[in-house]
Amino acid sequence: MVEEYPKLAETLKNELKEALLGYEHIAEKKAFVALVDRGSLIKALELLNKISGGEVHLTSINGADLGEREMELTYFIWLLPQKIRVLVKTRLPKDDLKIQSAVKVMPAAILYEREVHEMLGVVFEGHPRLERLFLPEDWPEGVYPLRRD
Amino acid sequence: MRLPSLLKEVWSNLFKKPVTVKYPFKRLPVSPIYRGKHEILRDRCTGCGLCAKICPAFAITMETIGDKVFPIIDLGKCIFCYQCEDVCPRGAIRRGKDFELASWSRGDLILR
Amino acid sequence: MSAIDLIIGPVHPALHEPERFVFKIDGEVVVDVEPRIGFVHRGIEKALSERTFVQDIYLAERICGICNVVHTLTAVQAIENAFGIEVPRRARYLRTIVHELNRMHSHLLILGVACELMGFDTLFMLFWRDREVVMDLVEIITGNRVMSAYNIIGGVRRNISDFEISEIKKALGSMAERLKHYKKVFMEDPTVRARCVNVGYLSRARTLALGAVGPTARGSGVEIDVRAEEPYAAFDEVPYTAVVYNEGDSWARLMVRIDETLESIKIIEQCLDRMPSGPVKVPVPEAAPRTAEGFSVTEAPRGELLHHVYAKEGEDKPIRYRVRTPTYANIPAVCEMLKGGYIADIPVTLVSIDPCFSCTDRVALVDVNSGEKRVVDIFTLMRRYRK
Repeated sequence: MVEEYPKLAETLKNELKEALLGYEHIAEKKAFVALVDRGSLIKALELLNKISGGEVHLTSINGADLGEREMELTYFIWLLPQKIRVLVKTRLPKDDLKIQSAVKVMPAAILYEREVHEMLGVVFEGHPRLERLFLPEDWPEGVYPLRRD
Repeated sequence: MRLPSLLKEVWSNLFKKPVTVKYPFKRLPVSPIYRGKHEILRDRCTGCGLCAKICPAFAITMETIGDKVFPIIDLGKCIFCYQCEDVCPRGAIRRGKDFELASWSRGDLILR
Repeated sequence: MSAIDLIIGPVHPALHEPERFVFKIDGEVVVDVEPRIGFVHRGIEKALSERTFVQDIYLAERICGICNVVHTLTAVQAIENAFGIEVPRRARYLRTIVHELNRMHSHLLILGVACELMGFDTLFMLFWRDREVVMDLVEIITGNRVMSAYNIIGGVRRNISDFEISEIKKALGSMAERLKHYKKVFMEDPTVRARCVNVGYLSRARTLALGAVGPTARGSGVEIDVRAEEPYAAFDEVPYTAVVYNEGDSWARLMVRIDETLESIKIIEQCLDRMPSGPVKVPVPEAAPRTAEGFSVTEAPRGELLHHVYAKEGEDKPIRYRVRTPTYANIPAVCEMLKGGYIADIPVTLVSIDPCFSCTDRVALVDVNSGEKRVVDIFTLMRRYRK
């Protein structure tokens, strides 16, 4: 609910401090967007888990090639008790596409991370089985379909 | 023994007329706005080409006849969405009700 | 323990869409499941970023034939969100009506299919006879029985007349009576109960952790329903309460769908009564007016559907378009449900989550030779979950 946004902002600011690179509540999109540093993404997810008392629903993980030298990952999360949609975004430089896997914090991430890996080449460290999901076995290695280059 | 709950319905269905329509001897009527084969009204067309630009299936191409340009629709590619009808500023494309469009050759499917 | 591998799919009478499951079985009990999806993979996400926004709506519609209305609705809402366009009120009500009609048609379809898999062919035919009525209503409003092509950026394509409103009300009234009778059959019939109760049980905590959505989650007591929590279209003015059952088995999931069909009838009748007047669409720029992201979350018949679009100012094609479909989110949950059950329970469990694999496999590239799909390997997806 809209009243909970300031409290959420406060908690995130206090716990993440400088890892929280920016946040805003976008009324038009009815969502709270938070940009975090990639090293503390897992900490942010754990924090959201704690705020909602374990009642958190991971909706999706999207990856997008921003064209220049970065890729952006967006985690769509729904907090059940507070009824807030949170988008946690993080940027990865293209020459170092590694990030920690979120499977231990949110088991639903298992398939989404595989798809982002398959289509964009992001390596999720700690994922139990980072393998192909949709592409056939004879697809060449190292060719990532959704990259723009 | 308890009777099955659908028995009443099954019994009453035995005496009803079957709902099957024996196509192709009889055809069901379609709604007045059914999206069937198009009608291109050439006297209204100005040759602007908006229909070809917007077609999601790339099924419309513009053809030059004499000194005017007209659209031709490839019904093999068409998805019958009728965006062409929506975007035409003069109403030169109209919807029709014909849906039996199978043919033996691809050439028959080009609509002028 | 000697485990035998039982392979079901990709083409199998119990499945309606191609996917391949390898079950490790011990006697009659399923011990482990390894799914392999990707047979209907058509390269849609890449194709969506190579077409203009209007063309994308029609491509999005064809991601899934059964839920075509909700894909167009989510697509136009995401694009409107990115462009910053407000839709007139009458258009929102019309969108809701067609959206709920689509939901009814989809639920009746899966209920019929579930009955067919249980061997109850009479009820299958009766559900599908009522589904014909719904498809005829969609034809009156939009011009086609299945592929409606009704939503457009900025509103809907056609207005609705009073004659059509009265036709809809008449048809829905008689349908509500029959559906209540079918609900009673579902609750009391011994065949249905024997095949569905306590089949494919999943606890509430596990369902939430695995990210299940839609009736799969609501059958296990998780109260998430986008129409109630993040209202879109006309749902902020016509409020909706979610239907939740706590049993957690296949019976509960199918009962959620029957109740939702009855609720849809009520929503449509309320929308028709309260329909405001006004325009049905607004003019829209061809290229993006600003660099922004848009996303839209809606409740498809199978669960929560998400479209996420990145638009750049001045471009008439999206930079990135991401679709996350509900069956994709339900796959981890169904793999866990299948373990510990009998082989004979497999079809009923699979159909109770309402699998739509054409929605699931819609990702990535159009290029190159993906014609050959030699399934050589069987990979473990859910091995981690065997605790």
